[in-house]
Amino acid sequence: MSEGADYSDPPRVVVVDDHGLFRAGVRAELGDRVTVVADAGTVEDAVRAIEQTKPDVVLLDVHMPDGGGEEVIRRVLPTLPAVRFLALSVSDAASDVITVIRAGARGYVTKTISGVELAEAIVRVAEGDAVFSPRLAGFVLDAFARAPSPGEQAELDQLTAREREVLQHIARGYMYKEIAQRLEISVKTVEAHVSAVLRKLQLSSRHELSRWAMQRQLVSLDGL
Amino acid sequence: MRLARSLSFERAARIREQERAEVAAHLHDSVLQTLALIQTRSNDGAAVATLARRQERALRRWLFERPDAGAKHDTIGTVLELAAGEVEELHSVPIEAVIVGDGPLDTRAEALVQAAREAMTNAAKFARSERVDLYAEVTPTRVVAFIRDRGVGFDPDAIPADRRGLRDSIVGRMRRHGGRATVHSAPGDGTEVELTMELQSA
Repeated sequence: MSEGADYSDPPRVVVVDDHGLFRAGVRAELGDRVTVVADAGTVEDAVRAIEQTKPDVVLLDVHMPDGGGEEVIRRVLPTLPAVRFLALSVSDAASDVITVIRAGARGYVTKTISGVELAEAIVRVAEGDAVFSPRLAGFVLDAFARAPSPGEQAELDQLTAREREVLQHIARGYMYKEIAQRLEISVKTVEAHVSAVLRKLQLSSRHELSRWAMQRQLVSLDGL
Repeated sequence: MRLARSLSFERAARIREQERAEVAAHLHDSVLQTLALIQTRSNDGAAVATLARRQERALRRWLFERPDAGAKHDTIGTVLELAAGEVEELHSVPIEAVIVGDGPLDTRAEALVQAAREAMTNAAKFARSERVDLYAEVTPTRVVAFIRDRGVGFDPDAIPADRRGLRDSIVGRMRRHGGRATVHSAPGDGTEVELTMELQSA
């Protein structure tokens, strides 16, 4: 599915954010660690730019007018399944973040992240990994905290003890390599656990997740 | 019928206008004031960063806080986040607080919050770390908190006598309230303080 992309080349990235200043800032911060091939400020422009440039990764603002990041993913993913999305936001509302993840984003980082860390996250998403920030790990642990109600599929709607342990370490601020050392497993296994959690997030029918996904954000940031 | 409809339109418009006015008032008192301050202090990078972080935290609380949080009673989660915010402001080191679950604040939980605050203060003051991570998990029977930095670290067996904070305010306080504190640290390797408190089941 990756069409034999060569990852010794920097990943090709489209930056989608409705704030021009922020797009310019991200370009500057990322430097030549990744290749920004286009940027876009609206859902329409974003869909067009992604279809034209077919990037490895789309760096996607969660909050945008006309449906936000979720809408971009929904419109692009069916025709371009190889494009990977990394959500980026200043928002900490669990519902927003879980919604873009369920739509298909492979990770979530907050806008306070440093340029170096952001470039690393993009490279990892380009390579097919899931990227969880401490905050996303916290949201997920919260969403899966309660035992599933009857009727929910236990397998998809519950985290394993190991997955929980990995997420707790991410929430505590540990990096994958450190988690691997502490749990005496390989980095690949840590990545596999995180990917499994991502899959559960996207497929689970847990009430907490469905409720979040359905309920659009209460306060719209669009007009601010 | 038409009258009723236009009345309800009017009512909706009025409510929208009130909401807009409230948002405008809030932004004026908070964000615009901060932006003005930032302009006057634009040559002081550290002050600008602190102002921006503080405003971000306040605005986020206003936008996303559960409506019942804070107003009626303090919960473990809100008090922990507040402590993180205060330490961050006091020492100008960003603290990433991630809190899972929540519960009412009793004496034991209060002791844990104070120990966590002391651990965050230590990390911010002594560790020379770019940021501090706080992770707490609250269940009905237990609170666990981790305070982690990537700073200079130290040898926990050779704590200088003047660092009373660790011995008294963290380890001692947790023990007095029936909990425990564990310090993982080594020179050059950062520090993680782990706090565990069993709660009286309600």
